Amino acid sequence: MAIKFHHLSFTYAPKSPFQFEALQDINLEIKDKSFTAVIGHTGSGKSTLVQHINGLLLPSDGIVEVDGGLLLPTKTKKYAKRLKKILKNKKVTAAEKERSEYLLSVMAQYKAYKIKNLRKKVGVVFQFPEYQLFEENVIKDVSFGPQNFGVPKDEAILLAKEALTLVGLGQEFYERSPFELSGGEKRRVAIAGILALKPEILVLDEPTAGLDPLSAYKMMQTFSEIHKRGTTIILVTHDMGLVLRYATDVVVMKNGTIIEETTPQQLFSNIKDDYSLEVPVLYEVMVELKKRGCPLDFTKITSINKLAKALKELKENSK
Amino acid sequence: MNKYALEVSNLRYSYDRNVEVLNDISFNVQAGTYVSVIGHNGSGKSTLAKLIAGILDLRKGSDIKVFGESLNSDLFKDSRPDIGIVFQNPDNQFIGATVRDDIAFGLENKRVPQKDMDAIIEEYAKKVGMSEFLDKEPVNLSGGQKQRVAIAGVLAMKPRILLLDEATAMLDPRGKREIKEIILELRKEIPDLTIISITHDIEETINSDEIIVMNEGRIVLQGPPEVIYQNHERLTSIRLDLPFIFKIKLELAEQGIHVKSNDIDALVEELWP
Amino acid sequence: MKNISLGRYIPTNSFIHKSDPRIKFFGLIVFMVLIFLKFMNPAMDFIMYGIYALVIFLIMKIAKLKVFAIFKQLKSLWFMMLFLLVINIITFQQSGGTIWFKIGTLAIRDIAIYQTLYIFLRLVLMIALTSVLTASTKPLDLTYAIEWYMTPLKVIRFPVHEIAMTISIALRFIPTLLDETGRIMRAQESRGVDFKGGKLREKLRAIVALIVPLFVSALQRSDELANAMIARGYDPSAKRTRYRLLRFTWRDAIILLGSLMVLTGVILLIVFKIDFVVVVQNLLTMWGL
Repeated sequence: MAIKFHHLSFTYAPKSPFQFEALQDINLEIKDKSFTAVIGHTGSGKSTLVQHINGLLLPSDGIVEVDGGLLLPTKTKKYAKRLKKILKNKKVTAAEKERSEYLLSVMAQYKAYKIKNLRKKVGVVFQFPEYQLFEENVIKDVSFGPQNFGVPKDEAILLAKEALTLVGLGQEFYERSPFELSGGEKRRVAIAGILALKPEILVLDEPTAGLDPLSAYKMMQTFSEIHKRGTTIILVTHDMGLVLRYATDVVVMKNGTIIEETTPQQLFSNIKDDYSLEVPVLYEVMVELKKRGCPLDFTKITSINKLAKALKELKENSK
Repeated sequence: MNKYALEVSNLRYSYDRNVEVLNDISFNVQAGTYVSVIGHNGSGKSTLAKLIAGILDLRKGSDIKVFGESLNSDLFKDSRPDIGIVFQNPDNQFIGATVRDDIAFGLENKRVPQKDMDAIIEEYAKKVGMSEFLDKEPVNLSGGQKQRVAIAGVLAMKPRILLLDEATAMLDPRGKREIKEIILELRKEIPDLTIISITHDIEETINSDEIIVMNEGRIVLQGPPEVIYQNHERLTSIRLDLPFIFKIKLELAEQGIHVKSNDIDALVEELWP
Repeated sequence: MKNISLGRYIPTNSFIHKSDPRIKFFGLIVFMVLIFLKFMNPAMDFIMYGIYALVIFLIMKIAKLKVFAIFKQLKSLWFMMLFLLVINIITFQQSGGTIWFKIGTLAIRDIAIYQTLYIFLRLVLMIALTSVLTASTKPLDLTYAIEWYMTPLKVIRFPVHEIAMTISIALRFIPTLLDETGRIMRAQESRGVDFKGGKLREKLRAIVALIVPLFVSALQRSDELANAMIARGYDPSAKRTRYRLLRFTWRDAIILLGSLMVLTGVILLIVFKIDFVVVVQNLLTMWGL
């Protein structure tokens, strides 16, 4: 399922003293079945961007194209009218006219999407999702999602059990109250709640925040598995280690715009100071080595082990 | 003056009859040092923190002494005057309407005269780098900033021990870095202050004088960082990791390349002179 | 969700903003009393309401507030007034006063109109002045003012300080709770909950999916907050010093004097049965008109 952002802009609280332009003219395609990491400083617009994928937020301007349908700022006719008005306006720049024409052409190809249907196909897991738990027991909470989309209770329970198995929670958890569980277990129940929807696209916002290293690793392995089975994964994160290990594509955001679309290896070999990212120590080391003239091919190095071996090879070859 | 800021003896605790969350823990913390207590979630470290903080009551046979005075005594019945505690959730310990008011809260409780408060507030806000934010409301501050205010508010009460109970668990990388830097600053500015940091993030333990490693309610390792980090396999077996820079050193050593430094720039220099 | 206009604080740094909240509160009470005083005849009543409105208008100007912004909020009142008018007309079918006109068999008496207008005008004036108070006074300062007024109740062991502390903490957390509500709503919407439309049954599920997590979180929050407060030495029954002190200044003296003068003046008008309509008529005859 393709996701495309066409000239997407979003402003929080327009026309109020709290107005804030979170996204500015975003043009991006998220490749089908990719594992795309969205990175950037806090406040760069990452969370705002991904909330447009399942229609939680609608564009202030521009179009979101997803699953053969469009998400528009307002009703189709109204938006088309607005765009056409821009075309007629003489005071507008050529670039703006081009933009409006382009948007109209996109609208000509596809129809507006019914948002509720989208929510089943695009699963979104927010940061610290434990707060969404509310049912009497785990199985009821996890089957809540599917039932909201018309899945009959029995089937929903089966889906719930499948999802719980995926996250490593067995039968003994089914009847327990989610509020009795440990932090890590709650996290897994919340995620199972979204996995039970069997979404085609899974959006994850810092899913491993606050987890200890082993739990974080297990969780990412689960997502990697889901990805291999054909789900597109969009990971919003600060953890560059995860980006390196699991992502196929990287989108770098800064101040509401996209400043780079690349792959993990290419990203780290060219890291620029103004990304405001917390670079994992491995890459900091590699960046420093590169600065000092070390001739290694850093695009091939994706782990400490590989770095060590490469350095050893280099030293032996230089003898 | 007692040379031990904290003396923990035979600490036992369980929430229900079956599971002993803390199983006979004993250790001492020397005054003026920076000690990290690390363990995975469920190792008992949070329970330890709660017992020191007074949120949980000590069981019979267990004792914790603060500068020689037992927590079982009346002095410590309801509060911990010598221990300043910073908790995990930045929002749930921010009481005042603004940064100023929050730092003032502790001073009000301590009955500091009103005319002296502004000077103290400004002094401690400066120590944590929040001087420009004194009139800001918590809703406009980041997690790291709120935690810094919490530290200021707690230190303004001039405790002899600063207890950080997973203070960085809910922060983003920048926030974690801010707190790490503040701790280093504080060690210079207030050298007599004893700092105890309870965490599950091994990266935070790098600058401590001593690390206490917990697992399943017991202390399994105790010693200075360099010694602790030698135990890579042991740490991994209890769901902990090595700090990244030490992992790099370990892998390099396995390939026959030995480096000494713990600092990135120095390390790189050794690798590629 | 941050723009709730429930008498939001609007910082304009005016004379009124800088005044002590306790005095402003006093001024509000005096005004409330004035609004409910009745004069010798309806004409005089309406003249006085007109004067009050003028005064409030002036106060708003001094406070540098936009008058129209406040009246926008009164839009919802019109409907209620219409409803009230109908009720009054029906109530006053038989009783005294003069009939102005008839719609079929329905007698529209002057009393019905007057009663409705009284209620309407009083409401408008009260809302207007209260808005000035909340726009010019931070909620926390209002809390301090209320606490000060409640101080005498300490004698009967009324928990004045605890209540004030509770209110001030609640105020501090309102934006935080709003944020949290937003987050929970987004998470549940992502699971298919429809907060806007849907049948009754779905709406109920939606509310439960929002309220339960909010409550659980609020309980945990209050627990953690209590621990943090105790850790910082808080003891509600013990003496504490105060950082924020309320101080009376020359501004407050002016407001106090002004309020008392107006109150006295109006009471004198009633006592001496002065009717402005009569006064103006006399003046006009004096000048030979």
